[in-house]
Amino acid sequence: MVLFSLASVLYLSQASYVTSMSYRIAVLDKELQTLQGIKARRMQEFAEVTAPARLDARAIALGYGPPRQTVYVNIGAAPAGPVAPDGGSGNPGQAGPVRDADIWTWLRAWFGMESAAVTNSVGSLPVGGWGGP
Amino acid sequence: MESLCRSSGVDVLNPLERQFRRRLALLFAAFAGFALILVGRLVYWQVIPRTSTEIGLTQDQESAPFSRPQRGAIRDRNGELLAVEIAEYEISAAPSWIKDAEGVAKKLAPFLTQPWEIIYNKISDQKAPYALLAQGVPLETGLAIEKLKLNSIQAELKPRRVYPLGTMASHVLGFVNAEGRAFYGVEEQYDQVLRGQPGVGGKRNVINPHRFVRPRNGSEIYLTIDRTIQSVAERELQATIFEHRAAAGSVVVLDPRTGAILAMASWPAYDPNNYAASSPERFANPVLSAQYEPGSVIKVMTMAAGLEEGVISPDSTYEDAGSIRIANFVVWNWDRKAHGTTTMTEMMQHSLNVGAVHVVFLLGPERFYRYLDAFGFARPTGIDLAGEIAGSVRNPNTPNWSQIDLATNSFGQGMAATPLQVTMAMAAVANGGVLFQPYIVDRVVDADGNILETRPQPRQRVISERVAHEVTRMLMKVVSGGVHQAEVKGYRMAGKTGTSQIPVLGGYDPDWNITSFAGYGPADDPQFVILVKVDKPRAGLGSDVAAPAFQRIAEQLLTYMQIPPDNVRLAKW
Repeated sequence: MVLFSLASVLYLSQASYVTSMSYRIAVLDKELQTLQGIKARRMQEFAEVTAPARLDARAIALGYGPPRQTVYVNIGAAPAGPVAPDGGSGNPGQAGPVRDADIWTWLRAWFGMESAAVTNSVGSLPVGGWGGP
Repeated sequence: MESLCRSSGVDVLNPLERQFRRRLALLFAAFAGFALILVGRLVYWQVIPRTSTEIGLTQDQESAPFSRPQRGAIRDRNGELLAVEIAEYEISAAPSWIKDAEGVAKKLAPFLTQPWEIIYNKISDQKAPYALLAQGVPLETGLAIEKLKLNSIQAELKPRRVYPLGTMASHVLGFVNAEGRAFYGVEEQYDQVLRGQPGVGGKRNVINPHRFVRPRNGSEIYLTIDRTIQSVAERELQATIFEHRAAAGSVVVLDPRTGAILAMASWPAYDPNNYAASSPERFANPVLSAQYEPGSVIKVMTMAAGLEEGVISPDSTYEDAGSIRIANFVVWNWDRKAHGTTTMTEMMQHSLNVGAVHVVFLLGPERFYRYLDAFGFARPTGIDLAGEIAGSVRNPNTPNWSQIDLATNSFGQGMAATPLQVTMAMAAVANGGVLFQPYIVDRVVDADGNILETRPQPRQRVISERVAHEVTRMLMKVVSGGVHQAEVKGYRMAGKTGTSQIPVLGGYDPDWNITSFAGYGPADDPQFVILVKVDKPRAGLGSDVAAPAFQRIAEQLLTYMQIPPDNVRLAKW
């Protein structure tokens, strides 16, 4: 009888502990769900206020518009402009000349043959409006 | 006498005492039986594992907080949100249990933004067991109502899928209905990934009596779509459709080097937040679920096949008489004019049907259809979106196929393709002859933060790099020497127009056509392919309707993708 009572007490105590912990987990889980819900709501609001259509309308209302001209400026003897990523797979024509030009410029600079005139002409490449097909 | 009775061992009790003891024993037995039943029941609940049916039946009530996973969000390639699940409250009441209906109504009114009289009318009927007071109540409001601790007022969390950008990319995304079922697009295709796994609550055994398996939230999906490019594509498509009073249209933008879809727009679109307000015909994605006769854009593939097989060169000539007779049919040039001795490049520039027929007859059906198959026509591209169709191309193995089919197929009539197939075929040319597998999911991030990235898959080489560059040069001349509407200042573009008839029962629609332009740029190093398709414009050809839209989209793409002009990129100094 004593043993049975002890076992019962042991069982009841651990069962009550598990139950109370379960309740605690349930409370925390609800809190977590609430926080997740609030986060989702904020994400939604952020996406809505930064929607491209909304930003476009706002920018136009503020007097902004698409750029009329894009100007790429090359400074000094550095390679002209950004190079297409990956060296332009399927575009050997691009990767070649630009890389050759780098070496050539570098060699000219090394031997002191790089003149200010050449540098300036590189630095003032006209862009965005001429060339074309 | 008493001592005599004891000594003889006979327990002599008076009848009253005997009756009392008998009743006591009976009571003890009853208690013992009751205790036994209780113990048995405890053993049953605590020790014996429950069946799956029992778990299923009790799951919702017993482990409600643990059972529902959050559906994963859908984002664009830069992480911008396209779809997310939010939680909203549904407020209901049990009027039969409410004692002070007026007081409850007045307390709820400010939260539900309803006059208290309306709420009062709903909850004042003492016989009604249930009354729905409000749906879609914001989370914060629902929490505030919960804090009021009003008896008989229940605030229940309900998930809802929202699409913060409204109609944008609706055909790509699909939607989730009120019951949580996903339809169309990424939502349907990746439903299992997005859905996650529900948690389980319940008792397992004596050692671990309360076994809770927490829900596993759905994975987040990052698309290859770029929200900005998608916005540009949709805006320009809509402007074109309104300008030309067209019925519908589509734009596809993709990266030919990987097969990644950058934008996929169709109009008319629908708002997945309010899908019920739209006709169900709008739900399917026209880019992959609707087919059309692509028209002259197919001349690019005909030309590529001819060059690859060596039956022609860009400078080969043929005599263009303006028409060509095949059995009982006559194929005309679109302008019904004879162009005399014409080179292949000129044929492409002027989009001459007779020239395309000339090339296809040099090729023969076996080689021509082999190339069409290699370019991906008449079979699904295998893109990871729900609802893709195969299109159709008749070939010599098809019953009733004839030479007129071969002739008309050479300029994209008499065959059906989806806009995606046409874009992919064009991308193969742009990409030096290698066709990639198109895909729209860039990466999947699961609840633990593990990332599963999609790797671009080259499907096959369709034509050689040399031929691809030859075709590109021809297409550059199409733009620079004819379709000036597609030119972008400072960049060389390559592309081809298409104006095709619409098949109807017994022939072609005499009034309407489909105009398109498929092109890519920069021509020397293509970083995007764009297809613009406009259905039933009031007037005009592909060059008048679709090419200007291509030009505007390409111009904005070049700026957005920070691609410098040709004279800067290709500078020799």
